[in-house]
Amino acid sequence: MHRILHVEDEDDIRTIAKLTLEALGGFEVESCESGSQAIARVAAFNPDLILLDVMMPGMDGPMTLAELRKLPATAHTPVVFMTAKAQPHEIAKFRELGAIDVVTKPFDPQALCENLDAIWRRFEEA
Amino acid sequence: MSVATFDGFLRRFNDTWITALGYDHDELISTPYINFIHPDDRVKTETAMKRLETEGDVTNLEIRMLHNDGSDRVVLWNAIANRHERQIYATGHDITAIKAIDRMKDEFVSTVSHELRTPLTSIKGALGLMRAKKLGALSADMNTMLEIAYKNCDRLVLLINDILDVEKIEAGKMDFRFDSVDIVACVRNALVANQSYADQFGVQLTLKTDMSSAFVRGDEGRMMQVMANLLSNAAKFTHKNDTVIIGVNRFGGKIRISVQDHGIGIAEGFRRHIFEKFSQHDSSDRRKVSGTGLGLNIVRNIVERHGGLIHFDTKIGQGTTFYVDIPEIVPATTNEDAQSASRILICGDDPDVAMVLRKTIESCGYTVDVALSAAEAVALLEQHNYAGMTLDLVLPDISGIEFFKRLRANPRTHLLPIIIVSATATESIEKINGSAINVVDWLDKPFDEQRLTNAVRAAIAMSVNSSYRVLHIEDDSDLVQVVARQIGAAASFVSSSTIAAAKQLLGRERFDLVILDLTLPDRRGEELLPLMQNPDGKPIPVIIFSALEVPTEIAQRVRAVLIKTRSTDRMLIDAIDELIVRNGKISSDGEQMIPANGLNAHS
Repeated sequence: MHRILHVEDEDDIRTIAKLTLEALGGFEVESCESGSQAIARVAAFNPDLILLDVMMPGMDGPMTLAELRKLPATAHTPVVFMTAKAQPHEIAKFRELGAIDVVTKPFDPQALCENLDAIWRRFEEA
Repeated sequence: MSVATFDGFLRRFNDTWITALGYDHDELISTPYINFIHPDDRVKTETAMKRLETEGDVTNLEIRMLHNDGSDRVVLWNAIANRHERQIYATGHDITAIKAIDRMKDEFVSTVSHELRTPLTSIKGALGLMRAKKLGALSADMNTMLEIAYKNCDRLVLLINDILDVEKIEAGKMDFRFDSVDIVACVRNALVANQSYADQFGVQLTLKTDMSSAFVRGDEGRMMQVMANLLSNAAKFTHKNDTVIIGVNRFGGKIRISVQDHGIGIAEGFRRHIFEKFSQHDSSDRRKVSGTGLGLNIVRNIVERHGGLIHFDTKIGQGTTFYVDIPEIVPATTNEDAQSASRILICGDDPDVAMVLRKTIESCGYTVDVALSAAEAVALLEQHNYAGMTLDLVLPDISGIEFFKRLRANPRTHLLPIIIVSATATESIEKINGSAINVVDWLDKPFDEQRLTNAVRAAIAMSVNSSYRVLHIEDDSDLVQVVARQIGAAASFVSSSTIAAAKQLLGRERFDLVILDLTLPDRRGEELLPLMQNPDGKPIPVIIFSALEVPTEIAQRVRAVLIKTRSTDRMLIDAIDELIVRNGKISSDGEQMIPANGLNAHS
């Protein structure tokens, strides 16, 4: 995996996640501040994986996922949700919505990169 | 305060009634008091009245009452009856404001906790990046400060998590997923996971047990949370460079986990407060110990939800041992396996229906167990091996569709034949009014072709029929082609893009499997469910698709359709006989059959 599209409405978290994933993870990252921006940019960026915040104003993570699935370019792109809400039943619900995994906030930068690597490996093996 | 009669009227009351509910004296005295009660609480009130007649008193009964201005008032009632005079003496306390404050407090805690996490995510991320030394070198002093900031950030995260957990426990909203858990393995994993924390104190976590495995009914994630709390406490409170001994043993039908430290012990005065919220050991020990004071409160709640008990022994200056006792369950034995060919599980919320089903199925020579909820069914499925299961789509704890999907996701039950039964017991309690469909799998939309193909392959593999015919009801012609191509020559496919055409085909021709999309554009897919039988009356296995946004609603709709069809018991028995035949084939033809052709080979 090389290219991650990250969708997050909080400016600071976006900046930190980009730096984290680029400096520590060695990924190429495109940051978007909203679901609609992600939908507009996703085809041009062609990500291997989409990291999607759940709680965003307007179009939230699940709504964005549903829209992404309608686009030919992202109909099958793996999506990982990032959320502070991480009750087991919520994680199960996100998986049912089509996310391949869920990572929680707050995150440790090193752990986030390792986590995404492991998720990607599991996805490829499956 | 009031005096009322058993025939439903107030006889005397004080003026508080008038001020609290806004009706005048005459209205209150001339209207049946049930009219002042919120419609949703009237059954509860009537039940309480019956209790007053039989037992003579009712305490702390919370009832919503209707104010004259249209608003609700929450009133807490205590009442005693004079059964001789047939009068009820009741005192009510208006707790509307208290309830509102409680609700506000819950919302406040939840909002604040979530709002705190957002800035914390930035802080922890920023500090973490610096710590990873990817942004340049730091001086030793800067590093020390950074570690302090990072450590305290983690403390804050833990505190927020604990506060949220406590709030969820108190609101009864903490989520548990019970399954059969090997508690010995769970404890071993917990030791590995927490050793690095213990290393900070130079403490070694050591397991002493002669058991290789033991099973409890539990939520593995929550049990790990219990262990993490007990192990980190022990590591914090024991002496530096000491050993914490963890034991797992059988103890009177229960599994006892013990965690023993050699610390200072728990002071006499603190012992009875140890499981309370925000309780922390105020010791003479100078060592600073961080913690939220919520951990043991959470631990006790989780253990009790497992039907277990937590307690401790402590000696000042010698240390403390915590014990967690949880009931052991016995997994299915090989002796059971011999009987499993004829054992059927009934799962549904209505005891009358379950009784009729039980009689019907037992009369055909099967052994039957009944579960009135998904939780009960899970427990029974752990204890026995079943040849098949009937499932009602409406259950008291979770939606039937959700439960079905969980069963399919569980390796132990992913091939268990399940028929969906939605039924009502008739007045004579002799017959079932309802219907049964044999559901192979229930998939979500949007779906992937591979899962569908695998489900079809599994169904073909289980069939006794050599010329296998599939009816695929779907308006996406691409998908129809993809599935047909992937299955190849193993089956012949007939497709239908409309409900009307499908109805005709079902009435005329024989099929071994139907793939049905419940969410076709005209949304009438469920109309076809009652028709899922061949001209000779044999039930046809079905793979169902539904959108996943509203599973409960779909479950209700499907159930309504099935109940309305009111077919005979015969259909149910046919479905069960059919699935037993299939099951028999699986076991006699060898276990490789399914994986080789179906589910596992392509996962």
